[in-house]
Amino acid sequence: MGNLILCKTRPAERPYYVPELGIHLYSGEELSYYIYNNLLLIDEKFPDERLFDFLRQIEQDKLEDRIRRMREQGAGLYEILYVILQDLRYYSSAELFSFRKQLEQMSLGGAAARMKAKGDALFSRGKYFSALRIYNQLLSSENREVSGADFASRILVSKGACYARVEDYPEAMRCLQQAYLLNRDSSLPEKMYVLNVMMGRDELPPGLENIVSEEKLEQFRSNLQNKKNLAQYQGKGLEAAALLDKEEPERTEAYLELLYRWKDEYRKNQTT
Amino acid sequence: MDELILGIDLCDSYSQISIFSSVKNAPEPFLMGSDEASCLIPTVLCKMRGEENWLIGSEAYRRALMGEGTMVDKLVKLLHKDGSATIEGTQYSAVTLMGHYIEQLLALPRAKYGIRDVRCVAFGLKDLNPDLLDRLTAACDQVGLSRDKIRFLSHTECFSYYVASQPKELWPNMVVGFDLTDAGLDYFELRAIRGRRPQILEARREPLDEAFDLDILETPVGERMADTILSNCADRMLTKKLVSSVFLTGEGFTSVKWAPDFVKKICNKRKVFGGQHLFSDGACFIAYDSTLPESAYPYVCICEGRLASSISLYAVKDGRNEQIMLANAGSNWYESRVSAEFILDDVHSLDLIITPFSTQRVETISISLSELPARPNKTTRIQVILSFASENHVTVRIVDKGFGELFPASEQVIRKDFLIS
Repeated sequence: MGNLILCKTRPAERPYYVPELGIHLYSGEELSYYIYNNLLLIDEKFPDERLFDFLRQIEQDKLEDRIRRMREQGAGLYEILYVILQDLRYYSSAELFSFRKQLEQMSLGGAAARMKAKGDALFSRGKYFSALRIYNQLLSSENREVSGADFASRILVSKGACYARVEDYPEAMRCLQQAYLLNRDSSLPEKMYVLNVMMGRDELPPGLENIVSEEKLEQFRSNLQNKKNLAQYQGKGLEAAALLDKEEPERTEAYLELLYRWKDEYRKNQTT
Repeated sequence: MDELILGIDLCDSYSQISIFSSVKNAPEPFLMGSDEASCLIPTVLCKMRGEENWLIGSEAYRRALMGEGTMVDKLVKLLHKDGSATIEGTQYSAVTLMGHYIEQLLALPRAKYGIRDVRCVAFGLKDLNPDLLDRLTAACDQVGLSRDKIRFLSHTECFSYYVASQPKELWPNMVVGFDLTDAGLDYFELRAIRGRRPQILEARREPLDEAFDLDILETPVGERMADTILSNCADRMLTKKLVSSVFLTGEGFTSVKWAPDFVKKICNKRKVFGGQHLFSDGACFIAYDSTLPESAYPYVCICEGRLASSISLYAVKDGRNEQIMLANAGSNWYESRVSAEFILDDVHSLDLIITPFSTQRVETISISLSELPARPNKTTRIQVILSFASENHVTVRIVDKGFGELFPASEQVIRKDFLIS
């Protein structure tokens, strides 16, 4: 059986802005939810004056003092995040226990892996340019993890995916080609072929002709066709298909409205 | 005394004002003349011809009779109906007229005591109709009386607090009251249930069919007839009841010489008090009590205008599951509008616990939340707004407030009306 949770404070007048998601947080509950579900997006700069101002507004002065003391004593980010969730009392003991486990898992990974995970989290939320910034930072850093061919290749593939989502196919192709040169990942030729198709060329990119057989190419074509078919019944395709039942002129109006919403969402996602 | 604390009994025929005296620590009536009957101020308004000058009471009658202005009466009824009156070609809404009336009414104690500021005004009314109260609030607003400075009380509440403010020797047992006016004859009954903490003051009003037009008291035959009617009424209402005191009020009881038999009956082993301004005094006691940090009345008053049941729900507060009180038994229904916000944690219905104060027999009203938009757990904030249309009629509105910008609000509303005992 569930519970109601009493909201104690009024929404903050100066909300806490989360640039990674392009949203504002207005209450302790929202802050808790953000921390719990977006751990990958939070970095060492999180406990700053903006956060303290927000905590004061939601009547969490004691928590602010506690975090300040913890910072002076050199406490780590994860320790601070745990204390915030504990004090805001939005999550139950069982949920806090699972969060603790998540933090422990995260601490095991290196800094570069965490940064890559942050980029991936931004990508999955549609923040392609923010994700690109993270990948570029990683590639230009002198971290030893990044110098490994496999890891660098994975970053380049992710970077390519970002470019593909913003329809910069030539740049996406360059990223995949670099990634392929690094570790000859066998899954990449198919991705490169799809990019070529997106650029209007139903053929393999130069350099792959000798590597990919005719049969394999046919397989790529068939896979792409299947994905296209499936796309009609998923995500945005499904949203558009749902409007087919409408009569004209309502249908055209609905399509335009949908298109406007998609554009708006896209713009919002890319402005941060 | 640097601010006025007033009790106003606002009726269709007469109004009365009581002012809380800090010297006597009790209300004192506002008298227009020297005798007690002069506390009755006719509820009429007169606009002087060609001027923006408004008069009330007997002066308004006089000027209107002399043809110097236009008079409007039955102001409470007019406000109830949300009517209007056209004076010199201009239509005035009932709210505007009531605003002028209240302004002139307040001017009386302001002039007498030389104090402009008002700390609290409690209005005593025969019926607490929600529309009437909303319009009266608007009329008060018009004359600069903000919502936090006004209270609305039923006559039964005024009677209860008047009695509760008297020495305890007067009310060891039941106390009754008769209010005889042009509008009718009302019977009041109050008893204190002392076995519980806090003590309960249970009061009720009963409009009696035996009402008569006060004009019949102008002839000896009519007086005798009225005495007989009231004597029968006393027999019916007081038999087999242990009554300590009887209070007589209303313009019909300005004098009781016309009712010897009735007086004889009610005086039998009881203390009897007659006089005006009982309701305005009761209202004034409550107005004064509202200004105190803590109530001086250690009672829960269950009567017309007050909730007989408390309404609560269970919710997690500071990590612990607690019973959260939304409306307390004994509180004034008009002032019991409450709003609280909750987050749904695997909850599919809102369960309100109704606990009648007298029986403590708990009833649960369940409101389904399935119509709210589907979201991940703990990401739906609801605002629960509890309001009352009377002491029995509860309206619950549940508004979807979303979860900030993470899950925007749909502002969808689920509404449920139900009756409580």
